[in-house]
Amino acid sequence: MSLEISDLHFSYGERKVLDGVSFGLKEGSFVCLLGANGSGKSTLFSCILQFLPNYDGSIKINDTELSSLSTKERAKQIAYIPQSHIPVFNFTCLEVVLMATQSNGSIFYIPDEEAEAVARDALYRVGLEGFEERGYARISGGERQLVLIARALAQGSKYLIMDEPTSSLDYGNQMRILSMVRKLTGDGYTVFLSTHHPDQALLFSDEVLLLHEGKIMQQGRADEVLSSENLSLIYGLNVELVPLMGGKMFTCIPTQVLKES
Amino acid sequence: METQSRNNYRTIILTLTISLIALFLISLVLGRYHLTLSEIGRLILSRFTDVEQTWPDSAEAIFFNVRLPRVGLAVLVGAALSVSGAAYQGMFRNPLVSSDIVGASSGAAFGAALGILLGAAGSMISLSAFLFSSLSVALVYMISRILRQNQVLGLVLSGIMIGSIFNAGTSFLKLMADPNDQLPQITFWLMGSLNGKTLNELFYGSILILIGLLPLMGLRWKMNLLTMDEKEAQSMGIAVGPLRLIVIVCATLLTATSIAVSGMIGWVSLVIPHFSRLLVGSDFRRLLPTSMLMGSCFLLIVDNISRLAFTAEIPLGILTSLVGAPFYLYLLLSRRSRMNI
Repeated sequence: MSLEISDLHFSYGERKVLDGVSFGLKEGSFVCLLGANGSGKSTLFSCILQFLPNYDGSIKINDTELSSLSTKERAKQIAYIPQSHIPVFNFTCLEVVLMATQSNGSIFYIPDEEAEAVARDALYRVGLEGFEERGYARISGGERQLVLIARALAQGSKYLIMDEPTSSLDYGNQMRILSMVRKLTGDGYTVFLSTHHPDQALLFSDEVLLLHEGKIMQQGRADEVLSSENLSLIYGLNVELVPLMGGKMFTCIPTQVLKES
Repeated sequence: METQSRNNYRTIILTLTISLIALFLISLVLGRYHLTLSEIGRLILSRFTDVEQTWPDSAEAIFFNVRLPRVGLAVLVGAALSVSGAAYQGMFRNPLVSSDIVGASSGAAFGAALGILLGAAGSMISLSAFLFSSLSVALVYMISRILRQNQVLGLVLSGIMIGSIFNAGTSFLKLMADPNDQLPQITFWLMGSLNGKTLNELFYGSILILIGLLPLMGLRWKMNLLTMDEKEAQSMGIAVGPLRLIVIVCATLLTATSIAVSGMIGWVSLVIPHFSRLLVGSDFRRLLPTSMLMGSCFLLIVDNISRLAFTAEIPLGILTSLVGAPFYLYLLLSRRSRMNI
């Protein structure tokens, strides 16, 4: 099982956003997508999820072209976890998770006991047992993000696409969410996540994809890809990678900012 | 659904169903010409089997030509307006939207006034109301999509604009109408009333309302997903565009049919879904059946007041607005604290 993307091009009118992007994701891996604002990260996700279907190139899961699948069939393959948000209507957490169970149903689908059991189990797996009847709008941002992860689990798809899932969360919630997602890869889930924090990639990822000006700059292990040169080029800022714990870990230090201040 | 909330929901549905049946029977009995329940039972039976006539001819005429169409249509129109209001609120992702705001009513009013002016038959007036109502909603929807920066503001602005164009059109048609015949008909029709309805209108109205109502009831779970962000809904396997179109077409059919048979009855489509949401939450699985029953009960009560409380009949639209407008203000003021329960 794998996600293969070959020679992907996408433009907004005259403006080229993705320019020959090719890469593959291994099953059960945690892959972080890094790139500056406007580098094409969200566009890449939108193409994979077929929100922007007018791309050139190929996006395949298990050798099946995603564009050839129906919306319903696609939902069984890939789940999308957006940033946590407050919807207009206040559904309960259970109702939010149940929403993803319909991809197996008919047009007049109404969730049955089995679907409810799946949704409850998904909430349990993300540590939100007892949240079933709580209003989704009334829980914290971190808990809302967990509900969205539970919803993706209830969807039954093994590929999880997460667009900056931690951007609105405090440090504690960021770490808790990422560590939860990391554990999911042990159950066979493949996680493809965009982030603006190289440290998160260094801590949690199996692989890092660097996107720069619509092209894949490098793909590989975080400590190899996130070199001072690459980070400095991407973010336009001198960044140094500093070893911790005798070289077992690395962290990023924006040296240019330190010197200036 | 959690056992407790499921039991609560069942109790609410049961209470509303019993109330609706009781209100329906009481409404059939009540009136300037009093009919007893046994007379009503025998009158209905007489249409299917041989029953000895123990009632005066006038009772039969009043029951079948006046009382039954009126009470039946109150039930249907109340249900249709409430369900369409809930559907519009979901589809436009705005709990303060109603068929008045998205232009369905003003479009239907123009269509019906045009039909009356052209001397069309009842069914053609309904068709004209439906077509212009659909046109109006489509325009409002398209314009609000163009004004993407703020969907709610875009919706309200485009609704006001399109509504105002159709209102101006309706005023122009009134100006053109024959003041002795067509003008009073249009004016009275715009105030909303169930007076003078026939069994035929009840029959055709119920068919059209069922055509609109049944798909919405079937799709009521998926309507939950349409209240989420479009990309999210799509990623969960929903064909957002076609589904939203079906829901809007059904809701417009309900609104247009209601307005075509009963004239302009404002506020029901806004207020009843809100009351229902306070009772059973936002899940359309529970919201639509609750809104439907509550809308029927509400309109039956208001129609009874309209025809019985005063010596001269007060048009229904006036009464529903008198109740609805202050409640709308209350919702605006307390929306944050009350709706996000």
